[in-house]
This record gives sequence, C-alpha cells and structure tokens, in this order.
Amino acid sequence: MSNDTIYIERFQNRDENALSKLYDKYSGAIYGVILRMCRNEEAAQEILQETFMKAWDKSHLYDASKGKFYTWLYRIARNTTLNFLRKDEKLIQTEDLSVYKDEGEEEGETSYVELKGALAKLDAHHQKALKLLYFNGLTHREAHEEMGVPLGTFKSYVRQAILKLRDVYTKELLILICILELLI
Amino acid sequence: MKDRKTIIESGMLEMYLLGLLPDEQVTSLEKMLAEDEVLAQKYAEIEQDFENVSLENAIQPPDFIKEDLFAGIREDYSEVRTLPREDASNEKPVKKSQTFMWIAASLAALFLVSSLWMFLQWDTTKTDLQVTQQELNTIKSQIENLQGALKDSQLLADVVKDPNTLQYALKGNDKIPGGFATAYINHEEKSAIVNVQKLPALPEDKTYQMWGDVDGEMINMGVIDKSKDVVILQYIDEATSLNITIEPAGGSDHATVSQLVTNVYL
Repeated sequence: MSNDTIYIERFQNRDENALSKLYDKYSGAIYGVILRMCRNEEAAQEILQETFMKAWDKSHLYDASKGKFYTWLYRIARNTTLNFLRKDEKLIQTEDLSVYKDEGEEEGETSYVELKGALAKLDAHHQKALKLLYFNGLTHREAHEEMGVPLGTFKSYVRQAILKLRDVYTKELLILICILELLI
Repeated sequence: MKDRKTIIESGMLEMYLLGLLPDEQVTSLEKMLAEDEVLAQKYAEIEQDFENVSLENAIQPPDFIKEDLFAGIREDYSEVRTLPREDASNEKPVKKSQTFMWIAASLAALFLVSSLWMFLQWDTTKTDLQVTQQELNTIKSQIENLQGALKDSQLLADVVKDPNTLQYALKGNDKIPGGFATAYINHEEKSAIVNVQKLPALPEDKTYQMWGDVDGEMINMGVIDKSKDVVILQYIDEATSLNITIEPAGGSDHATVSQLVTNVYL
C-alpha cells in the first residue's frame, strides 16, 4: 500500500495529520491550476482554501477505484474556480465592462502562466490545446473556438498531445532507470 | 456501447478526467473501465501524466493558507463541541417501573429481530436487482451492436442501389498487401462512404485516414473507424482522386504522403 493510499484512508477518517500531508503534496499543483484559471492571486488563495475545505467535508465521496486522488481534488478546484469566475463576471458586467477586458489582456502573459516540464516540450499548438483544457478550465467546444480550429482538429491536437506527453515521460523514466542501473 | 478504440480516440477519457463528460455517459464509461483492463490502463496513464504535468507546473501558495485552512476546520469542530447541553438541574427524576422496563426491552428485542430480517431481505433483493441490472446492460449492449451492424448494412444497401452512385475500387499497395477498400461516391446526393472490411487491422497507435485531392492539395475526408465495416466520410466537391494513408491514432491535419496505402482517380 503506497503512502498516498494510507494518507487518503486516514484523511477519509478525518485525520488532520493526513490532510496536512496531502495538502503539502498537492496544494502547489492545485494552486497552479486555480491561479492560471482566475489570474488573481487573492481570489486564487481563497479558492484554494475553499477547495481543501470542500474536500475535507466531502472526503467520504472520494472513491479510489474510480480514479486518482489528485483528479478528484482537481475537479473540485476547477468547479469552485468556475463558480467564482461566473459570479465575478456577473458582478463586473453589471458594474463596468471595460475593467474586466483590460484586466484579462494585461495579465495574460505574467510569469506564472508560463508552462514548465514535459508540457513545455510539446509543439506550440499541442501545448496550447492542453493548457486550455487543463489550466484554463475550458470545455472542448470553448477551447476549439479559442484556438480557431474545427472541433475535430482540436480533439486530434489533444489526442496527439497526450500521446507525445506519454512519450516524453516514458523516455524520462527510461533514462532514470539507466542512471539507477549505472549507479548500482 | 462504444468500443475501446472509439472511446480512446473520441477524447471521452480526457473529458471524464476533467469532469466534463455528460452524466449519462459517465455510468457506461465507468462500467467499461471496471471491466476492460486495457482501457483502465490507458486511463491510468492519462491520469498519471495529467498529475505529472500539474506537479511540474505547481506554484507554491503562501503558508498562511494552510494555517487558515486548519483554523477553519477546527472552528467547525468547536461549533459542534459547544452545542448547548441540556441543563441537568431541569431534568425531573422519573421513576420507571420494573414491568415497564421489561416491556420496553421485549419490544426493543422484537424490533431488532424484525429489522435484521428486513435487512437480510433487502440485501437479497438488492443483489438480485444488481444481477438483473447487469443482465439488462449486457442485453442493451448486444442490441446496440446489432442495431449498429443493421444500420451499416442498410446504409450500404441504400447507397449501392442508388443509380447515381459510382463505385471505386481502392486496391492496397505493398504497405497493406491484399488490402482492399470500396468507395461509393454520389455526386448528386454529395455523399461519400467507404467499405473498409478488407483493410487489414493496424496497431493501436495508427489509423487509416481518407483524403480527397483538390488541385494537388490533400483535403481531409475523415478518419476511418476500423470498428465499423462501412464508414461515412466527408464529401469533397471537385476532388480528382481518393487516397487512404496511415496516420497516427486520432488522425492528422495533413496527409502523410509517404504512408499512402491506396488511391484511385475519380
């Protein structure tokens, strides 16, 4: 049984220490998603806290046989952020439309939006397709419009991007195994 | 019920992962994931890579968030703990007779036994219901498969008997020796379908894709779904030839001409 599995079981039994371990492991990844989605640090911090609060309250609903803990946490974070953005958009639209527009464009390329790791090694269009889905919280339909390509083409970008990601990670794993074998 | 390859190529797994799959499809996909080890493995890989991507792009949140989170959780607890308790001094001492205690105990025991019996009955009924449900799902899936096959056959029959339909034979080259496909093009109805029964199976990471040549440019007519015998393709006006290539799973935006397996002039 992995450490994660033990912590998740304890987390479901309302163990604060397990929550602390899981927070330490996943809060950065979740915060990265939320911040890229809402592009507002103050709001992102509130949403991150709300996400873990919801996870704590609904921990009994997590079913390990249906997927990884991170995926479950990601879905909570994604929905919480989208709810926040919908509320925020309504407020801004009733007040001043120009504020929202300027904010989005100016903050569009701040450093935290830059992608790292294997994703950054993909072709620009593959990178963008996954970024729109994973980090911007768009649906396939919204994302293909955003990229200006037909839905079918967008889906094939996503599919190809996922295959290339697998390729990158498999190669990295092979290199790691080779290094370990050399060391032993 | 869709087959494994269609599920993988249609992007259903990614949509499920992101929580974007409609509820009615979630149940059937979860059932397939529970039954199909290869599909479950594919999903596990996508999930793992998704988690890796997220961890590589992590941004450390400020420390106070964690402190606030735990403070919030403890506050919830204390609210529960500080619920007002009944004042003991207000309680009036009640004398319970021995007889009444016996009656109450007997009733409780009776209730316990009947509850146990009802629970066992309920559990058996639940198991029966689950078995029936599973059988029903299997029958449903068989009906869907049969309906799909019938639809394919009807479609082919309709197209073939139309006098405006032109038939083209696409004989495979040395990349698919013995491979063969038949295209049916109807310029009046502007429809294009292809019978791919005789095209040999490809590895999971490859797919056949059909292209129409318009002024030297290969225009995508669609990815050929090998789980079906008859595939409807996009009709391309002014195409001078039909071409089939082998492409990476999911199809390509541009034809990989070096992977051309067959073509025919119209």
